[in-house]
Amino acid sequence: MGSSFSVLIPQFSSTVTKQNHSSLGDLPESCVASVLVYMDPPQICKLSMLNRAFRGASSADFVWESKLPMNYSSIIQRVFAGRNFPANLCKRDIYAMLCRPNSFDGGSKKVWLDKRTGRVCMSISSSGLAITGIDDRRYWSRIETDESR
Amino acid sequence: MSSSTKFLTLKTCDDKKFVLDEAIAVRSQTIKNMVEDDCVSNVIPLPNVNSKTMTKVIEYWKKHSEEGVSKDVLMDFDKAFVKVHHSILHALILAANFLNDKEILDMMCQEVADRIKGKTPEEIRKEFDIKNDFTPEEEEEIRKENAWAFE
Repeated sequence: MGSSFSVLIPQFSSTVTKQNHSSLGDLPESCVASVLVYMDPPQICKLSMLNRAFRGASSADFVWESKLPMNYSSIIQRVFAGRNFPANLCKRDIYAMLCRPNSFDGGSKKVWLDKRTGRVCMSISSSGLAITGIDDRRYWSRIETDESR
Repeated sequence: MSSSTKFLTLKTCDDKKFVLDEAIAVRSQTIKNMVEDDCVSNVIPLPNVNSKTMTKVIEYWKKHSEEGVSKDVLMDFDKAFVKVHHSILHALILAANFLNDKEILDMMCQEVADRIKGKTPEEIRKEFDIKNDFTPEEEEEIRKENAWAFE
């Protein structure tokens, strides 16, 4: 990473060393991204308002890769199976997409990411559950309530 | 071993020279690549690093290269090392980025993150003297882009 960006630095540093003062606003995008890795997603989004370097860094794939759950690609496969999932999304857009509750398994389950921690949350409707051992309608029946969907 | 110790001379942008054991200097991936590619003559110029910053970097490199130094001692050293003024912290990040020393870079970036965590963009702008270089249209665009995170 460092080597590929080092060409950008001379212009920054020469002004920096002359003034003998460097500011957070002078950091190149790659360094700002390395700072953002230590932030949670809402904070990363908030900091993208600071200046251009922060905005650019806030969409760096390696920042968001560290926020996505390890199994995010299997979640995508499960949730967007058969549907068109845009192939060219950056990691931040994938994260944003997975933060919305997405239904799968015929609408009997919903999955989403907790925005701040990136942890996977799931809500399963009773029709999406099976009862081990006695999954046999002779032993139970489903009673609809007003809140049933 | 000591008979084969090689020394490198590093020259910072303000023309100060630092003579350093090669084994220590190669903590910088940039310098290591130069040594391995055999493109090191007498003096290695570091046009992006000033002497004040380089002194700090070398202080870190030497401490972390000491033989038999305990983890606790290093942890205390690191804790004290990052307690510097913002401007030095940012100069160290630029230097670590140029020298390609991931260890120092990560440590410094973590420290910056800790210092700005929980603050609003306005507070950070004021404290760190960052100019808002967006047009009102761009600001609106960014707000839309990030709306999902604050819903």
